[in-house]
Amino acid sequence: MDLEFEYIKKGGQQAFRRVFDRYYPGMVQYAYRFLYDRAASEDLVQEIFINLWEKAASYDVKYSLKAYLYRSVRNRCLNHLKSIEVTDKQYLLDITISLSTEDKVEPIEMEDQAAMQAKAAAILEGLPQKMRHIFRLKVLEGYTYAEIAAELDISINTVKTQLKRARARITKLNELIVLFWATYR
Amino acid sequence: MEFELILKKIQSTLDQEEEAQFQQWYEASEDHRAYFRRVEKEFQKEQSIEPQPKQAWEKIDQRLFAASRKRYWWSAVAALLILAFLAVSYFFEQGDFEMEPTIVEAPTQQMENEVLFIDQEGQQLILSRTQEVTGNYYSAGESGLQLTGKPTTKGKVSGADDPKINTLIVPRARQYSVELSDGTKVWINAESKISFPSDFVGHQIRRVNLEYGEAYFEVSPSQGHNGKKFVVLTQGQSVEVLGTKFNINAYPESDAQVTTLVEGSVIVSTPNHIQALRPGEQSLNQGPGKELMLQKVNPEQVISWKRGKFIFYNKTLEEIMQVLQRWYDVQVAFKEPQVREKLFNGVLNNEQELEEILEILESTNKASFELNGSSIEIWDSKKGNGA
Repeated sequence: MDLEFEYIKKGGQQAFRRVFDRYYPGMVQYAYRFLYDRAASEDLVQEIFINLWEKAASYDVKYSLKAYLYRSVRNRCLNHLKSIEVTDKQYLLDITISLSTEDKVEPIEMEDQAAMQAKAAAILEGLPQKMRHIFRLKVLEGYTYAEIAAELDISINTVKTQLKRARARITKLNELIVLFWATYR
Repeated sequence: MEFELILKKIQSTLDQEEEAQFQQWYEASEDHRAYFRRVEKEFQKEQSIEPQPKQAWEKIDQRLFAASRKRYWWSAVAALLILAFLAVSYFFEQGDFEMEPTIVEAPTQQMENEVLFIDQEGQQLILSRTQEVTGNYYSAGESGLQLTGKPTTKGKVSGADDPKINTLIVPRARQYSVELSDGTKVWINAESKISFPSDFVGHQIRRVNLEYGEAYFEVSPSQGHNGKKFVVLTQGQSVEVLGTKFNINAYPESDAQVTTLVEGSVIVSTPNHIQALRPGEQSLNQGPGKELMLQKVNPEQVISWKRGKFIFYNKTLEEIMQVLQRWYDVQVAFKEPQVREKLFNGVLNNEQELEEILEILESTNKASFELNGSSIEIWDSKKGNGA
């Protein structure tokens, strides 16, 4: 049960504004990682908030409002991609997003979650040891940057750098350089 | 179209079937192409965006709540409308400026390294990055030279005995291109020297001399030039062309002169061998008396340098450092010889800062690097450096 959501359902403008302030920037950044278009991402998220206000009564919020909102972003983004005939059965978008987002986000439906984790586990195999550990905590265990840093007794910046590199490996390019593996002759 | 194919396209690792699939999608709509371009930009340099919650709230507020306040605060509504309008125009003016790629400034020392052009009169011209240079038969800009019109040789009648040779010398850390008088386009990689006539009038064949370095050719077909063949000469090899796309790598320090055919057909001749290439084939000329080797390659990877990229699979650190030396104009010293032979895979882009490239190479724990000014020292990985 989400208290803010109950307020919104009852027409609480203040609660609506608080929820907007708290989640809007993160949701736009999340949408951007699918669409790579800032203006379209902002429009899409605004539509979600307008829908939330107008249709709150019909919402079925099982866990948290945040998870519900992020799931809406993902669904709308995937629909948008479908309209330009792009699909992501490999969950590469979800995995790279998980690496480049500070927060713990659970926007994915359970069955998708399982498939994404299987894919992530396969990617894991190809990573160097240190990176593998951090990648596992972030993508599979859902730790935040700070939690990983505390767990491994390293700085948050190291966590970020390692995840950035992991992302580079998966997308096989990024930052203009990637090294997937190094072998001896 | 799977998103994975978009990433593979950017990295030039699509196989033939996937490439066809990609092209079909890519050509289907401008929206598709726009999405591809945005993803490409993003994955070349990770962008960060700053959402504008204030402006967004104004819009939402306008749509949801402004109407209910209308009865009481006409003036407030007017003000809000103006605000919303301002917000919208501000929003549009902002555009997506955050998404402009941050282009890494080339180190200042490279500014001195300009392309040298020797024209048909033997006059030496420095082609600066900022100034256009125009002569009576050419014009030179930031990224290329174009042979434009009929050259006039003072007081002489032009003919085959008057070679009217021009030369371009491209230094380290630069790339350049030239469009020859027959419409043939040539991309020239760093540290290369190439010479060519002002035009091909009076010549039986169209001949270009790649004295050293690497160049990619898109040759204007022979049919358009009275069947005149196009020939590229390098040290100890000639490549004969009928109109085609191909790459020649003839750096003196590498073991072989490498010719890669992208499209069409070429004939590679050495003193001992003559070999026709088919698209996707690559010949390696390892010098006099050696067999001309033939192998299959992905030509898109070979010519990736022309887009500022260097894609490598199972390349030794020595070969990788040769490219870095040319691109960043640095000296490399291997302090421990066994490091030279270590193999790497990856993608380099010449907009990447050198420090960053070395740092990522080092993160593999296979070697360690020290950059001092313009020299790099390389050791075996430091012990105890591993995770």
